[in-house]
Parts: sequence; structure tokens; C-alpha cells
Amino acid sequence: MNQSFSRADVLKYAIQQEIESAELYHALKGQTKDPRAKEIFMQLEKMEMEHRQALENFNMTVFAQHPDEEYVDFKLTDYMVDIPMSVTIDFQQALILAAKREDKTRQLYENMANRMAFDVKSRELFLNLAKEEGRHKHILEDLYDRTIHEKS
Amino acid sequence: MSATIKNVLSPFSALKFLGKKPHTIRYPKETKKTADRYRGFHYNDIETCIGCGNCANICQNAAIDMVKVPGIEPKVGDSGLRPRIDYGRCCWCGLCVDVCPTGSLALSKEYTHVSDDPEDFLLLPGIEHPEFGDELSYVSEKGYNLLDWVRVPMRELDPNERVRSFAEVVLGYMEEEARAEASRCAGCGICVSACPDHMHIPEYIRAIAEADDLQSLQVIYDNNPLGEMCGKVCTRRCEGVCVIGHRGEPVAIRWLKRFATEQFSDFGKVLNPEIRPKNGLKIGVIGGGPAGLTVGYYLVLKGYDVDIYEALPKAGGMTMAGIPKYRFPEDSLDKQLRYMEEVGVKIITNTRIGKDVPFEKMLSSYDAIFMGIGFHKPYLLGIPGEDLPGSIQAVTFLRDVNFGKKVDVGKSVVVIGGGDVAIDAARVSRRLGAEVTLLYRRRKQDMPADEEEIVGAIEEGVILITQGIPLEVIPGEDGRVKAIKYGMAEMIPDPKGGRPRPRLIEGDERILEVDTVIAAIGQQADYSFIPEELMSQLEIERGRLKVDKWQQTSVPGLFAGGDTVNRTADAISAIADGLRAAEGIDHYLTPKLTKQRIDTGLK
Repeated sequence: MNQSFSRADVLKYAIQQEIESAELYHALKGQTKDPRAKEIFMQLEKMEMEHRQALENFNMTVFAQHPDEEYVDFKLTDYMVDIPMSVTIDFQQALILAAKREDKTRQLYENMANRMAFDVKSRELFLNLAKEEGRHKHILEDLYDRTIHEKS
Repeated sequence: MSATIKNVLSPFSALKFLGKKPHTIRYPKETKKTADRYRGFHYNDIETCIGCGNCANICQNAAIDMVKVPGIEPKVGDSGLRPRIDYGRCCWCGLCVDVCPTGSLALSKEYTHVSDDPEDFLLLPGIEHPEFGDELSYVSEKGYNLLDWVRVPMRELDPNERVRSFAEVVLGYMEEEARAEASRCAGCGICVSACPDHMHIPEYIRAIAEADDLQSLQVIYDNNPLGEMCGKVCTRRCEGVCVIGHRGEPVAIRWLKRFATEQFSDFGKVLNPEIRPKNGLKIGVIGGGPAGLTVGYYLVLKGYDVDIYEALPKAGGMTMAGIPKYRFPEDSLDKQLRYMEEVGVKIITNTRIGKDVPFEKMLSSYDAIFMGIGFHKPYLLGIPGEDLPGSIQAVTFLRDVNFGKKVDVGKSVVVIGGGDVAIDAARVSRRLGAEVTLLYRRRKQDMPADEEEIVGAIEEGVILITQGIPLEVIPGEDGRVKAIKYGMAEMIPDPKGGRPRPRLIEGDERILEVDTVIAAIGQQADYSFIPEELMSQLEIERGRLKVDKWQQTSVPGLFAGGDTVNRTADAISAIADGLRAAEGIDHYLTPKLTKQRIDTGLK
């Protein structure tokens, strides 16, 4: 991404990312036969739609629910292999896929925030979005630990 | 006449006290100091008391009854009741203190209690007059007590000998050992609430103590048709709350059950349960594990025809396919299955529903269906190299070994996980001749495996690496597993109070050369055999089927139990589910049976 892009360009790009994520989760929700995976994808789709709205309205109140919430990055899925999209995707794979995707989006928003240093409001929005994506990753990895590793 | 003179003169005998110092009661009153072991009014430490009722049972004067106390709720290991003493009956013998397992009940130095209300002499020690606890005198001392705190030890094979074969590790009690161990039971029944199946534990233990093994077996079979299995592999939640365990070693409930069931080589010759005449209704059971077998047994006794479909060559579920033979020998399972078939349970093996028999056919062929399919689908490690030759799943490995398939794990094995399946895989690998390392992501104290099994594995030479996270399975030149890369982890506390979670420490990575990697991080249910339309009607919560109190799913006539329903995921919980489901199916079909009887009568 070029630093010369305007706020509108960057927002448009970010909105597109959120739309793609929501569409992906929507498709996976419809495809998987695993009821737990279905539930996870449904929640993720809802979250991504909220992000899209936040970006479209340039609205930071969506993050007001978790203003200073600290979360731990367990790095649980960092060293796991990427999960290919498949109709046979199960709950465990759904968690890995989603956590990895949230982490990639977090990195993307952090990158955008760094490139928008000239625009304080945009920078703040992207840092908030990055934090929100990191929080989602934490929630997914927390769930992974409590379910997949329940007996280990 | 002489008596009359004596009566007249006797008052003058008091004159002999003239000039002596008078004896008076001082005011304020001074109480006399009592002896150190004085037996005054009772005091009960309410928080330590578990309401076992031993005090009430032993009281020779029936001076103690157990009563509900506001604010104390019953829970596992605590009846919620507390002793109330009738001081019109109490003789302060102290037997109640001598038999108190927790040491909560004591006698105090307090000996005055003045009231003109007779009801005031019924006291709840510890709740009423808690000040009596300020100075205790006759207290329960572990060294002087009517309870026997030490368990009769169980004989086991020597660890060096164990790893040479799959011979059963535990050797079982001899008769005199079993009688002695059974005699330790206080008979309070606190354990019953902890048992998922609510087995009649004090009753079958008392029968063993009284050398009536048949009575013991009959009591066990009253609500558990797999008593011998539980006598060997039960998770024994009962022992965890045994009152003797509060200050000593809990009664060996599991080993006593094993003793009782092992006294009979053929249950069919000694157990003669009442079997109701056939009622013409048919029940289909999917899965021949402990839950399915329990449903089958109790429904056959109620007059139903039961067909159990098992995908594997033998029924038993995880107890056949997962638990190693050194813990649960196959002949023991055979003995229990044989008896079930003798009473009329039909077990159809090598038949997978959804593949060999369509689910729809099950729905049309049976009046009710029970699913006890277990957790057989393993979770993956999700790391690179996991699919290499030599990298296998513990459930597959244990199933292959248990069904007699030749499995070569090479000279060195790493097992990944910390649950019972991981320990089983490690100990089986030792018996196959490999050096074994168990790699676990948390600390030793966080391992979900039975402590007894962990100790057994270490005794047999299994090396334990804790706080190690597997990162990659590394191939050799031949494409097979050559090593595993793992990283050390720091532990992050869980704000919700759960086990701390490991987080990889960047840069602290290590390599362990191995021939085989066995993954054992957990299993899940595989519902893929259920038709989509039916699946959409089933309520599933966190991967488990939701059922009502009768074990019925959200689909009428479809019942479920075992690992796919309960969260404890052990044999005794599956048996409890099966027992409830048998009652539930009978309840569900009662209107149909009633109609059938009326129709038959009309004809």
C-alpha cells in the first residue's frame, strides 16, 4: 500500500477486506456439517459485519465495549498449518482458520495505521481495528484451549 | 416406736456442724475447672462436617439425628445435613466423636445449660452455642479412633515385568484382603452421590465384608451391568469423596467391586434376573459401548427386543478399542458380553450405521433408537509434518493394538498429550519395546490423566517433558518421521480460574529424534453418518447432543448417551446415561404398549 493513498482509498480497501471475510464465514457456515463450526462462523460473520459498519461510518463507538481490555496472544495457532477451505471443515479446523485469518487482518490494520501517520483519526481507527482483530484471535484461541485441549 | 424417737432426735444431729466454716456458693458463680478429657456439650465444626451421619448411626441411645440446616446445601461429598443432639438421651460416651471421619465433632468443657424449655435440650452443635467450641476437651484423634485409616494395599506386577507383556498390572485382592478392606467402610453412603450411576456402594461393600459375594454381585447388577469393567477401569469419583479419605486412605471401592465380580466365572449361572415376557417392541442401539450395552441389558429385562449395532469386530466401545489389555483384559469383557447375550441382548458387530445399514432403515425398523457412538474422531495437532508416515493418532494406534494388528513403532516414540489416552499410548509403546517420551504442553499437575496412571507410566520408564509445545514433525531422507521439533512454554494464568495456559517462548526450540509420533490431544464425535435433515433437528451444544432427563434428544424417539452427551466422558457416566435411557425409552413407549394391550384385549 502506497503512503500517498487517501483516507478514502484506505477505508475502501479495509471495508472490502471486511466484506470478503464476512462472505467467507457466511459461505463456510453454509458448507460445514459440523454444528460447532457453524456456530463459530455465524458469530464471526456478525463481527465482520460490525467492523464493516464501523469503517463505513468512520465510527469508533463499536470499540467502546472493550476500551482498555488487555488480551493475551497465546500464539496457539501461529505455528499451525493453514487450513484449506473445504466443505468437510470441522470445528477444530474452523477455529484454526478463523484465528489465523483474524491475525492476518490484525497485521494488515497495523500496517495501515503505520502508513496513515499523517491522519491521526484514521490511524486511531486502524489501531482500534487491529486491536479488535487481535481480541478476536484471543477469543478463538481461548476457545481452542478450552475445547480442543479440554482433555490434554 | 424406736423409729419415732429417731425421727424426733435426728434434726439435732446438725448441731455437730456448729462452729464449722460454712460451705456457700459464691456470687458471681465460679465454675469448676474440668479435666482435660472432660466430656461436656458437643461442638461441631460446621465447615468441616460433611453430614455423613456416622455419629447418628453409632449412637447407642439414638440421641443424634441428622437434620437439614438452613444455609447448608447438599453437594457431592456433603449430604447437607448436620447432627442434632438430644441431651435427654445423650450419655456423653463419646462414640460419636470416635467415629467422626473428618474430626469435626468434639466434646467441649462446657457442662452447664439451664433452661426450663425442654426443646432447648435439642441442640445443633456448632450452629447453636458456637461458644462451646472455645474450649474443646474430648476431640477426635486420628491415632485413637474407631475408623481404620490405612487401605489394604493392592498387589501389582513389578514395573520391569510389566513392560514385557500385556499381562494385567493389578493382581486383585485375595479373599482375606477384600474382607479386611470392605470392613473399613463406615457405610455412610456419601460416595453414592458422587457416583454418576449412584451405585449402591455401601450395600455391596457390606455384603463383601459379610462374605456374601453373590449378594454383592446382585446389588452391583441392580444398576450396573458392567460391574467387572468398572471394577478395573472406573474413574472412581466415589473414592474421591469417601469419608475415610478425609484423614486417611479412601476405601478401595473400585477394587472391592472387582473382587466381588471376579468371584464368579459365569454370571449366567448365578444371576437370575427377572425377565419380563416379550412385549413385541424393538429397540435399535447404535454403538456397543458401555452406554449402548447398558441400555440393551435393562431393556431386555423389561421385555423389549434389542439390537446393538457395533461398527468394530467386538462390542465394548472404547473399553475394547481404546483401553489397553493390561488394564482391562479381553476375557473380562468377553465374560460380561457373553452374559448380556445370554439374557437376550443381540449384538451385531462389523456393522456401521450410515454405511452398512442406512440410518433411515433404523428409523423405520425400530420403535426407539439409542445412540451411544462415543468420541472416536481424533483432534489433529495441526502442525507441519503431521501427515508423514510414522505420525499416527493414539486412538487408531490403540485400536490396532487391541484388535491384534501388528504395529511397529520403532525404537523411540513421542506421545503428545496429557490425558488418559496419551498415557495409554505411552505405556503400550513401552510394551512394544520402544523408549517413550511424553510431551505435554502444560505442567504435570495440570494433566487430566489419572494420577495412578501417570505414576504407572513413570515407573515403567516413560520420560515426561512438560511445558513442551509440538511445532513440527521433521522427516528423514526416507520421508518418514525422523524427529519432532518442540518449543518450551511459559504458563499464563487463566483469569476465569481454569488451568493456566501455555504460551510459546520464542527462540527456545528443541529437537527430539524419534521413529514414531503419536498424537493424543483429544477426540470428538463424528456425526457425519446422521442424515442432514435429521441432523438439523438435533440440538447440539458445544459438540454434545442435548438431551432431556430421560436422555431423549430433540427428536422424539431418538435417545443418546455416553461421551457424546455427558462431559465426564468415562465408562461409569456412560453406564449412568444408559440406565436413564432404558427408563426413558420404557417411559416413551408406555403409551404404545398400553394401546397394544388394549387392542389385544379387544381382539
